[in-house]
Amino acid sequence: MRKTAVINEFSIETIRDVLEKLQRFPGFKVNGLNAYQLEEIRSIDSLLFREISENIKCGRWAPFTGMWCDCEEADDCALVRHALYSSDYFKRNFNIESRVFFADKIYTNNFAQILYRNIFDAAFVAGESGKYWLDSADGSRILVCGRDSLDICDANDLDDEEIENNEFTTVEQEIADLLGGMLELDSKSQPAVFSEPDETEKALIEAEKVAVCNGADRQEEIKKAWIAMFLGDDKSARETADNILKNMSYEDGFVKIDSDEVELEALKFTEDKSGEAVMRLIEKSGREKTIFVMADKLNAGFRCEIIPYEIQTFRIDKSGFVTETMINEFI
Amino acid sequence: MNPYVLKPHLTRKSTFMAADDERVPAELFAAETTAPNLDGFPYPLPSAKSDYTCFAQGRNEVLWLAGKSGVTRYDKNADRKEDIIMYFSARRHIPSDNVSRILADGDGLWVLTDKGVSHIEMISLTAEEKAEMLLEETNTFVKRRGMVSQRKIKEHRNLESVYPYAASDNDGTFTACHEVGELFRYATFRRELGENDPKTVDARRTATESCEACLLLMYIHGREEGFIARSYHLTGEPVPDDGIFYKRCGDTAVCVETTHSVKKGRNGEKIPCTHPVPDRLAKLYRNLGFTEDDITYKADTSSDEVTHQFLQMKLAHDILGPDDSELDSIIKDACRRTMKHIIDGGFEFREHSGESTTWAKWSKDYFRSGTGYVDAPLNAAELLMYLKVTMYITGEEGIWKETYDKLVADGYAELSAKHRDRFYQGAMSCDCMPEEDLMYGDHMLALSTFWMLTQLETDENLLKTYRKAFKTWSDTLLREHNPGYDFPYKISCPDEFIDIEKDVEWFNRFETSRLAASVKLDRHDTPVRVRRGEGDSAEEISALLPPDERFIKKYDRNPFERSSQPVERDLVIEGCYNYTFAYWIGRYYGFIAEEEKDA
Repeated sequence: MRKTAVINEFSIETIRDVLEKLQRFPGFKVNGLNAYQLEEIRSIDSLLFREISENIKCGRWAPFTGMWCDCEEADDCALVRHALYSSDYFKRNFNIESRVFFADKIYTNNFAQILYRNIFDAAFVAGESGKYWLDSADGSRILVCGRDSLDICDANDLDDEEIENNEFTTVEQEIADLLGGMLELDSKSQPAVFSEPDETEKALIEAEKVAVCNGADRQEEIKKAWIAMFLGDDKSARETADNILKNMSYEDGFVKIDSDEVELEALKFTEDKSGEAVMRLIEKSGREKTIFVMADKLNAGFRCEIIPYEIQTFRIDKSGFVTETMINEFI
Repeated sequence: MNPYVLKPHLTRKSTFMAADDERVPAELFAAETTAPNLDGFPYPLPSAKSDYTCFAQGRNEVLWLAGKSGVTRYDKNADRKEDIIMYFSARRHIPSDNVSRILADGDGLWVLTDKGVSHIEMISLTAEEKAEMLLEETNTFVKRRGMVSQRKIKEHRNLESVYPYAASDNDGTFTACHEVGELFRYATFRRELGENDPKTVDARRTATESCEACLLLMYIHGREEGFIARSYHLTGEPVPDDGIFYKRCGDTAVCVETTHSVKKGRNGEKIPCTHPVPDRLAKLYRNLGFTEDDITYKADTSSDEVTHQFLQMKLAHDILGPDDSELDSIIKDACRRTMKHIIDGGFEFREHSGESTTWAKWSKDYFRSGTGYVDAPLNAAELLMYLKVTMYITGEEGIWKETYDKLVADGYAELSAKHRDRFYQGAMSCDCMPEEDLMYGDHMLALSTFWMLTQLETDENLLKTYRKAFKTWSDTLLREHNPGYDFPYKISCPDEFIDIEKDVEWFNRFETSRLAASVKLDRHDTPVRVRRGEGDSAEEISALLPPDERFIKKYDRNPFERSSQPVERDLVIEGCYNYTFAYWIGRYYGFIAEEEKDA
């Protein structure tokens, strides 16, 4: 029988146990650990991290991609950054571009769109049941698989006999097989609702904009602040933002958009330290439109088509040439 | 709904000449070459600001800017936002993007480049005038024996260098689409000007000729069964090494040697061709001095051909049939023969040997296959449409209705509404995004199918299902803002929104020639959109450019495509149906109207 083993408990003992099983049983595969957990392991035990890394790189350990860390709640802007930082982390460290987003729940009405625009095809959602298509208001679609819709067992509960007598696979492979088959699923559409960022998030978003406006690439510290906030440390996140904002300010008209119905959600430096800028726009009126965007100081001026409720991300190089890219900033 | 009244609009015309041509004004060579100051320029510019090296002030405060990457026209007083900035690039409007000097000339411009001179004129034309100019070009340079697809030329921009023959994989499809434009042109003129007006008479003639050319493909093979040929060639015309062809000789047709026929083991296969071609249709080649023995026809017909033949038969029956009983009886016969062939073949279009064609399959077996799984929603609807059209044209029920009812009971109508589910899934399983995986020709198939189904179905529940099914195409169909798609979509689904302003922009910015010539898509004002796959389809332009700044294409290519245009693509002249199909449907159904001449 084909089975999917998942690590549900973040403990060193469990991880060592799983690694030992991976060593003894060449056919065994496992799923588990998000970016935060992997970084924790790296800081505690670099040898253990190396051993996990080797298994990830050879496809026997599928990490939990998508959310940076376990979170009970995430609004749109937090979800965007979880996806961005997690994608970036796994790409850089393991050269993985996963198509499955692991989440505790469907956090926002733009869940499907944010995942789709991060090149995730599917979400493995612990708090959901069954399989279905999930559509956002912009038309983006992903496949949602609840925990009960795949054959899942907890890796630390598996005995040798069970491992020997079954074929183990990754959630990634399970999803690929599902997509390659003949699916007859219902679809669910989520209405257009954009969640408002909280005060700390607003400050971090503003700090990103101010940094670009002043040509000061502070993305590394801002990223740390976002991650601190994901882990519940709002205070230090806010301090980082305030520290940037007290020394620099945003110049009105730095970016001009010829439509009030399109919002500049983010203006930031890229995560790859190239010094290039990223601009993220959101259409909130429900009307498709052609818009002109002018950012003279970035040497950029461009037009784009934006469809109702779409989140569009642009990367602007130093000569002002613009690429419409994904939230994960890969091109 | 009141029609949108189209106003005359400036249309580009470029004439290329050598720098030493006597028509080139001497002042061009002395024109100033001062770079414009573009600090704080309020609109996105197609070239990087540093690329502009010269400028010229034109009439009515129009400013022309030029330099290392083409010519930009800035009209701050333009009525429409999209007309404020216009871009002219090589090889469509100027010989090279490397411009050294420009000289304003009334509404137009003289442009000196490192590869010669272009004289750009901006001519005010009505949308109908453009339709007539485009048709004239097609009739003169593209049409052959009533068929309209495209024609190759030997020299870039030289229409007179057109080859005397042509080859197309989809002559039936493209000619049918052309015919639809002509049918509605005729119907519009007949309503507005009367049956005997010279314009009406001319429109009736061209519509009839196109219909005859389409119907001929349904008989030219001489097979007893209701097959449809993709195209045909006459003695003296080269047969391309691209597919399966049969050469007729007496009562037998022999499969011609091509790479494909050898691979399929059909080279030299002999099949009977005893069914007569109706004289009314045979005149298309007999009047040129050819006989049936001069015919080599193309087989392995696809569902594209079949679908568009049913579309044209339905509309020709409605518009031409009442006053042309001879033509109408051929339509009825062709319709019955084709439908019977599909039913007899177990819902697959088959060659004489019984072997299925590659792409004309509507059977459940096909739907269970890998490719068929994604195609199934559209193909299921196509088959229902063929049956509905057959019942309508012939006035018969019998086997047609029995089959239709059985297919509906078997879930074909419900299946038609699963396009989006399977299309998304198909793209995901190929690790790409839906727009990358789309066969753009499917848009016209979906449109033809659901347009006809929603016009002919009277059962409220089925009508609802067909509308729901058509709406599953709207994501990719409506993003093109092509009135040729938007108008039939709105006719079929009246409660849906189409952006008429964008459709008007499309008419305004369409040029008067379909002579292919590449344009620069690597523009500073137009982001590249990166998709996730590889190859040409993985990159698009982020903004839909107006037709005069996009490559010349049929309806079957992605208008957002960014891939570079090889020079060979410039050696072709396309037919005009892109414009005339949209324009005459729009006029006939009252989406658009022309401004009164004396207004």
